[in-house]
Amino acid sequence: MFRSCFSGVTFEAYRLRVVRVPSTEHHPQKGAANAGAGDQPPAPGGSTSRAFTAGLPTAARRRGRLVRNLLTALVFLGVITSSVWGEDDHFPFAPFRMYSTTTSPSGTVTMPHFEAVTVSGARLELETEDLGLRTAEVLGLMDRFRREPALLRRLAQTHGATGPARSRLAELSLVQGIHSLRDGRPDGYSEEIVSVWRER
Amino acid sequence: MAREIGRSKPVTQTPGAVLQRAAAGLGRWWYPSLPHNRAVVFRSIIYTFVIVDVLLTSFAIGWHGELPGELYQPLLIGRILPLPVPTPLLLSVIKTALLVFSALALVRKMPRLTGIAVFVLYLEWMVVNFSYGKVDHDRFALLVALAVLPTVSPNATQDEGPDEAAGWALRCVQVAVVLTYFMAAYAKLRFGGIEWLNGATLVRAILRRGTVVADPLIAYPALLIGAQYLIVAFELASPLMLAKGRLGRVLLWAAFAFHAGIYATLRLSFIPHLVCLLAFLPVERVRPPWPVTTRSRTGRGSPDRYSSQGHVCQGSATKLSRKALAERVSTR
Repeated sequence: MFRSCFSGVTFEAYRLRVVRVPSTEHHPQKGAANAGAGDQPPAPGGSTSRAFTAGLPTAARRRGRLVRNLLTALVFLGVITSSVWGEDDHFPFAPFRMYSTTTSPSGTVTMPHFEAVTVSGARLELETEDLGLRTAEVLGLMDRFRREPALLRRLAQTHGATGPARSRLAELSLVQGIHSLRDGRPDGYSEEIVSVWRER
Repeated sequence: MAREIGRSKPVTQTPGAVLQRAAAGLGRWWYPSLPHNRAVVFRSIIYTFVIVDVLLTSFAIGWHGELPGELYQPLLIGRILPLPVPTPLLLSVIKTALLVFSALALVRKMPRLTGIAVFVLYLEWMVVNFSYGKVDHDRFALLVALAVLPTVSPNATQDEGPDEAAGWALRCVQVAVVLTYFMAAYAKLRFGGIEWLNGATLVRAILRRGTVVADPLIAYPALLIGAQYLIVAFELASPLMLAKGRLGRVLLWAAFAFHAGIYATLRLSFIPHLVCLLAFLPVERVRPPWPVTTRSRTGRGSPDRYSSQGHVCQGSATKLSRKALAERVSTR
């Protein structure tokens, strides 16, 4: 079906079906025969396509191109510079670093999740999304959670605020599942409690 | 004096002339003669996608308003401006405004103003998204698209005439797509090093978010290392997507296949980026199943409406059928 949508379409440069019609409206001084856009001086940065902008005053067209050229150059420069020297903090000019790090074939792979106990005593295993955070965000905040267990209290309060009273959390732990690798294959699993908060 | 007859005098290549020719070539490349209605259709796709994205694919950003403010780590742009700490109310306002302005842009009400508003709001939406410890790069091309589309006149959906403003906008999106791949390959070498290729990169990804398709592959590390080489090779070859002809076409379909594979194995959709890949396709040739009303680029009352500005297909295309237009063209 998708293919049929584009049936008969080529990806070559679009072949223009353009026929010039004599017009003196915008160039009365040049005469009808020479009124095509091609008679206009090229805009800075190269020759022009010959239709839409042909009727615009040359100064306006030059100005439009100049602004576009400057913006293009600035964004291009920003992207290259940030890719070479920048950090995530520089978004929207940040390095394109999703999945850019690796793990040794004999290293470990960590995967976080939360474990909780409600005031009614029920034990829960929570995905990071259950507390409003993506897994990658928890991994990015791991050091902060380790240093500041109070952050878990705030997360627990947020979770309890929306649910019924009995599901209010009395304890919340951030747990890190650790997959050990050997020769690039999983070879064991353990867990580490990164941080714990308990209601007093 | 003794020059052979018929042999032209060698042209002197001064550095200035070479630079001028290079600048002219670059200008022609950045301002390709693409049909105006391609940008108009692409524009509609993008603003439709923003609505879908806010409601469905990026709805989880709304969760951030519920999170404790202490977890908010504003990015540099958020500290400079300074942007407020997200709250449920703030995110609801941004979300509603995004939906309203995207809908207005879609129906071409104050297109430049609403287009700029959508860009600014979506940027803030992303700043909120990325201020909790993780920054993604899969929306770079979409942000570029939202930035450049307000520069394109949104009218004349039937106008197939070449338009350098449309050409520039579409080229910008194409280059943004290519940069996303190419600079991602660079980032892998910068942050992961050459070990990215030979390490357990995909094993880690599968352990974290592998699907039923990917889980059996974990027993074959050599296969996954081969896939890592293929990924980087594709990303490094991505500038060829900008090439004309079969080569560009092959790379484009390779990109779609690449994302299909990534989704099947890791549930990573990269939908915002996939939508921008459509900038490489002649989307104006896809006919919607519903009747389309046509509007002149220059407007109904404009004196320019039938003054073709040197080209038959401009403006008058809304009045003439394709057959009549072809007959009119062939008689000249």
